[in-house]
Amino acid sequence: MSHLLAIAYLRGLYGIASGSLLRHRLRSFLSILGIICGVAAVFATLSIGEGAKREVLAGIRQLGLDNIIVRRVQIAVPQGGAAGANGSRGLHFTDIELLKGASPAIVNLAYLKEIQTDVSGLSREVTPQVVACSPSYLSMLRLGVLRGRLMLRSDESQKKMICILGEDIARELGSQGNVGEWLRIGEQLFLVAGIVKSARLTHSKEKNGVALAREIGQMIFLPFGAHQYLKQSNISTGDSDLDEVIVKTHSEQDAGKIVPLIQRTLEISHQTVRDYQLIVPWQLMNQARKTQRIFNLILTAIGGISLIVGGIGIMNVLLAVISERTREIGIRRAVGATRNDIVAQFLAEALLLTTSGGVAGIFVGFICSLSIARFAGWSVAVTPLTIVIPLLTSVVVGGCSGVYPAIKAGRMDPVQALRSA
Amino acid sequence: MRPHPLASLLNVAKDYPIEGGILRVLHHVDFSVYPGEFIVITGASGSGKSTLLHICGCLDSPSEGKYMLAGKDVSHLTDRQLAGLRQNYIGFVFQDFNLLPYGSVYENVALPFLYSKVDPSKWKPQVLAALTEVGLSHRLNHRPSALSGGERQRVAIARAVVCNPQLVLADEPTGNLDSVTSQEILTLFSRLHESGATIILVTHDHNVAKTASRHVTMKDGLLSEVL
Repeated sequence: MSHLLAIAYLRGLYGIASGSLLRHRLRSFLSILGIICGVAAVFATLSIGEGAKREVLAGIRQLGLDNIIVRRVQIAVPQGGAAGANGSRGLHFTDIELLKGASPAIVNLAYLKEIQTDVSGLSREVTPQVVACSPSYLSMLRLGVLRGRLMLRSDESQKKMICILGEDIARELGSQGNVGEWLRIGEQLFLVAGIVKSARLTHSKEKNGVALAREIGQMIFLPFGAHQYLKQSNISTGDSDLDEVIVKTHSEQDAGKIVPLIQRTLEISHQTVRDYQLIVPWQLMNQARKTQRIFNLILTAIGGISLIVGGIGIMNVLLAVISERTREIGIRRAVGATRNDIVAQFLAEALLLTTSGGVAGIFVGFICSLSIARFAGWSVAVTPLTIVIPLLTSVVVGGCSGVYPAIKAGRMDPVQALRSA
Repeated sequence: MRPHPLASLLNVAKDYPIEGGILRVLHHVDFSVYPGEFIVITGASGSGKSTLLHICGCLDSPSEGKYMLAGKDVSHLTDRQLAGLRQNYIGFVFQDFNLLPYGSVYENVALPFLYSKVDPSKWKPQVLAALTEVGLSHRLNHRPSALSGGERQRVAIARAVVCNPQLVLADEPTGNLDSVTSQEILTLFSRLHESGATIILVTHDHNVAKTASRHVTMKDGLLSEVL
């Protein structure tokens, strides 16, 4: 029977609490306005933060968490002089050979060379990035084919005059960008063999400011070796052999483990000249997660401040309610309520206020997030945590703000309470 | 042989702190209530009637002396123990009815059950029985604001007797009512008394004493029996 008594007690408690709050609807609504704003702010912050995190992580993941990217870095002239003196040739095919044998954890390698040249048929607003790469480069970035095909080994070995277009470039070229059409790059004609899906790689920037981002949609891929035809036609292809090397390992754990080894191999090969940088997507992702956590914590704390302000508002209202209902406290004590029963009664009212404020806040926050997503174009993600955290915080704030008024009510002398006007 | 008293005040004094000293409102009162009695206490305002009633109802404790309820000294019990005694032994009726304005008649009468250990399945039948006794079973879902003064007091009486207390304490129950309604309420108390309830009714109206089995007067904190 004890559980029946407990249920009946709680029903009675919340029945009275809701009756009392509904009796003063406007006052109850105004008192929870702070909580609604606070919860909405925390919810919107968390959902926007979660959306941003997912977008960044998806970008990093697309680089391949089991990959290590080595990129050429333009170094200052004095150091370049020193580099020349030390015999570094920048990223070179000898690096590929050295890296191949560096560790059994390495399963594949891909390389890329950036080419400065003109492409006919494009407006001035479009700046395509022409690159010569190994066929493995496209497969290691997991690029999807929209039309035609990806690059083949034979394309590289036979230095075929073909090209793979990014989606945006193909669209810009119109009929000229269709598979099977000829495209003039520099002074040469290349056959369009395929079109790959547009995908933004990442927004991360390294410490020295070198952007990692590559817009696949804006790229034109040539088979490595075929770019030499462009060189013959006096178009700049740069001094260094390579601009980027991707090292693929068995797993992301392996990628993390062999970074020092790759670093050491390149240090020896480049005579300690830092004319390259290592980008480890796995480490980038961990870093991004940590940054996101701090970002979320700060924004949640800011949202939490409005929740605390809301809690103070609720405390104020409850204190006013208690002084209004002093006689009721006396009546309850007269019919057998203990001090704890009175405390429970007013705590129930505080919790009911803040929980309803919390639920309304989630609803308002959801609408705010959707509006931001629509008008600002930010990505927003709602997870169970983005709902539970603000809701739970509002309940805790409500509980804390209700404690003092509830204890004050419980300590009232029943005789004095009954005598009150 | 006379039965054991239901409640006894033994040499009870009550003091209240006031600015610059202490005000004694009860002066060493000795008073016993026997089961089945209908006692009317009359006296002027400030004579100590309500204080006596509050001590009898375990809402207040004596500054000196002992208060025995159902054979137990309750002078030094904890808040929880006193609340338990109020649940099981006492029913209060007040001058201002003291109903919860946002609760229905049912919720008001059932209020004492919320703090009792009575099986919830028995709440409704007992509330209906109490309301039938005061003639208001048809007003179950009405709010107090929809009732007349006399009806509100009858709801308050139903709330006082719903847990079948051994002692019903009424503090000026007719103070806010017209003479006709007052008479109805007093008739109701007489009926309750006839059905076995022990009642202490405090009033300043000496005419009310005619309905009682025992009449006591209070003056300046001192009690005297009217024979």
